[in-house]
Amino acid sequence: MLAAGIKTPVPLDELEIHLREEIQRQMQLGLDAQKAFEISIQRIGEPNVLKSEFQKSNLLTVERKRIKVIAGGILTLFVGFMMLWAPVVQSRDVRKITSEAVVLFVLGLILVFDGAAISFLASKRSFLASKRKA
Amino acid sequence: MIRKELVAASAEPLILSLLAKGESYGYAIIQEVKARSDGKLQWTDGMLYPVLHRMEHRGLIKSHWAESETGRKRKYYSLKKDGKTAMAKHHEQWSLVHSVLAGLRKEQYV
Repeated sequence: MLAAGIKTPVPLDELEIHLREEIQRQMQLGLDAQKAFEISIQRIGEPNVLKSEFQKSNLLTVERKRIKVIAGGILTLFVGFMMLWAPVVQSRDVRKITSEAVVLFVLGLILVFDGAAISFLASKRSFLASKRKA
Repeated sequence: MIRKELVAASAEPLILSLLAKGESYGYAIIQEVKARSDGKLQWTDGMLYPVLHRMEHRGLIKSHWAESETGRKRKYYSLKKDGKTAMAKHHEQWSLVHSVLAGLRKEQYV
């Protein structure tokens, strides 16, 4: 199965090893290879049911990754706002605005937009996924 | 045969309790549960693996690949700290259900 390079959300290696052990046990109990294989396949369960069970645990991982991305986006947004703070305070007196403050302001703006976009897109995907599940 | 809802609900506490005795792999876990229940508690073999994977994602257990004495590759699972806590909780809850049920049963025979 693995050698065939089948792409699936199901970790085939563990199931394949399980199947081999079960076939071997059935043959030790006196069954011929064909019968042992049939019984072992039957015991391992319906492929579609198994696939959907494995997909459930994959979805959990995807969801966890999305939460991390949303948190990263919010943090970026926060850092961006902090960077905007100093130039904004300085800008009260136009004569005191330094070139560093302008650079900081531009960088801050980029971070704010990035952070907002990242957290918005990840939240949207998460919302759509939960709607699909329901 | 035990009904499938109960089989599903008992999978996690059984896996945690088995792994508390030491690391094990999928096939051995299934065989031990079968033997300990005289074959009455039977999982569809393949269904154990998504359960194990979910428990690993939740940080209850961890896994590593190793070779058995016969040279066969196996994925061994063992209990993590959170798994021990979850197991204690399961035992507490199942004991409560059991004691309520046993109490009610006793009253029927009085």
